[in-house]
Amino acid sequence: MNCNPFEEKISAIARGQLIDAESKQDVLAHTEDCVQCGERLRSEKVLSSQLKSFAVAVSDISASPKIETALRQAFQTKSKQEKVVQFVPHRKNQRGVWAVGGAIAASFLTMSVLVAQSFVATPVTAPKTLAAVILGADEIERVIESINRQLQENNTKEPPETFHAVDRGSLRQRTKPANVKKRIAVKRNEEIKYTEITSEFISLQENGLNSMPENGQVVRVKLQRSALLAYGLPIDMERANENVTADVVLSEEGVACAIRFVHTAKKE
Amino acid sequence: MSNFSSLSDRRLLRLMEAGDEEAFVALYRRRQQSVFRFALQMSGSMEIAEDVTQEVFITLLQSPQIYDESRGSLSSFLYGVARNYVLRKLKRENRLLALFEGEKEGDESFIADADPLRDLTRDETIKAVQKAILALPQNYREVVVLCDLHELSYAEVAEIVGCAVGTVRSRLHRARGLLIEKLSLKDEWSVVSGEWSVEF
Repeated sequence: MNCNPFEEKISAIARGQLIDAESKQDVLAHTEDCVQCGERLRSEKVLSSQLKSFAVAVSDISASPKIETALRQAFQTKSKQEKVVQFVPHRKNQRGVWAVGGAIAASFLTMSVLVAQSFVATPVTAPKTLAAVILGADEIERVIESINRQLQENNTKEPPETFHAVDRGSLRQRTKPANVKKRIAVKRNEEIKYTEITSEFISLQENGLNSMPENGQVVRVKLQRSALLAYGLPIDMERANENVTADVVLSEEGVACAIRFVHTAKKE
Repeated sequence: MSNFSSLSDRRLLRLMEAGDEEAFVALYRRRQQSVFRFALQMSGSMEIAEDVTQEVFITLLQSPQIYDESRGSLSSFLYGVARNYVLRKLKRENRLLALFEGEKEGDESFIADADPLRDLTRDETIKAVQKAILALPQNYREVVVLCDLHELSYAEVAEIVGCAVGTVRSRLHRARGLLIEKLSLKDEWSVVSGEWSVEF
């Protein structure tokens, strides 16, 4: 007799789980015919009652009050840290301010260029307006000539500084804060050597590092810093959304077996 | 504090994120017992259970954003975090080995002996059940603890353990078979599985 279809249902009945009436009837009928399954049902019922007794026996147990005290302290410490952080402008916000400033400067410069170009393209002619009647025709002619002269001088000179500012490279350089400039300079300096500090490999499999594959490959990936928490590593919560570098050991089948975190630092 | 009893876990979490200490304490008081008992039943050690409980709530305090409401209840999330901490601690401290080697009667028992007139047979049975559960392989132990002792549904356990519902069901079936053997509840019936024919 094939008992397989009934085995899990026997457990479910013994545990008081809801199963449909028809299946329950079938299982109970089977347990009457099959000695093994009948015995299993009785054993399962005894086990369920023993597990219930055990659950009741430990139901009143809870963590000691000192944990609540410690957690309250941790909460207060975190709140204090957050208050301090509020006074320190965040780097991301600084970037935002610089970006907005840069955008305003760029639009202002573009406007200046357009205005200058419109002056170059259309020399001033004598207006036939009320001003001509009040000032007199000669006076108006003199003013127009002086304006045209100035415009010609400007056209022959080097383009104004505002023109240079439209160039993206120079604009970016002007709007970058000092610390960013420094970072770019460091990046460009090929002389400086870097060193990597790595954590130990942390197993991602149940059997620990003993189950590491003999053959496989190590792949470098970038993860959110908050992923470190899952491995019990401390993180700076201010930077939880930033990326960290990690090496993942992949087996030949492509299964991730272990991970280690990499920190790049300048060589002393 | 009584005002918080009617609030949902999610609401308390939001208040906690906004800096309300009492909301955090209310959330802790509501959920600490299940986290603590789970850690205790998985490890058999009061010390580990207390450490794990503290670490679970510190994690919640420091990074509440890692809880994703769309992926399940806060309770399941806390069980999941507790499970990870327990497994890490067990690996690190090799507690299970110590448990099997120790064999000091009552040393690892966490059942309170508050009532001296307690039925001795019942007490012995409970200690035997505790020992048998601790002797189960970790992936079987956790489903027994969560399904039978904490009375969670298969779906909730699958979410916590990170496997399919069918896997939870079959692991529970095998785990109960091993417990029956261990507790000698049956003489003739035996677990027919080459994989787990381990004598504890």
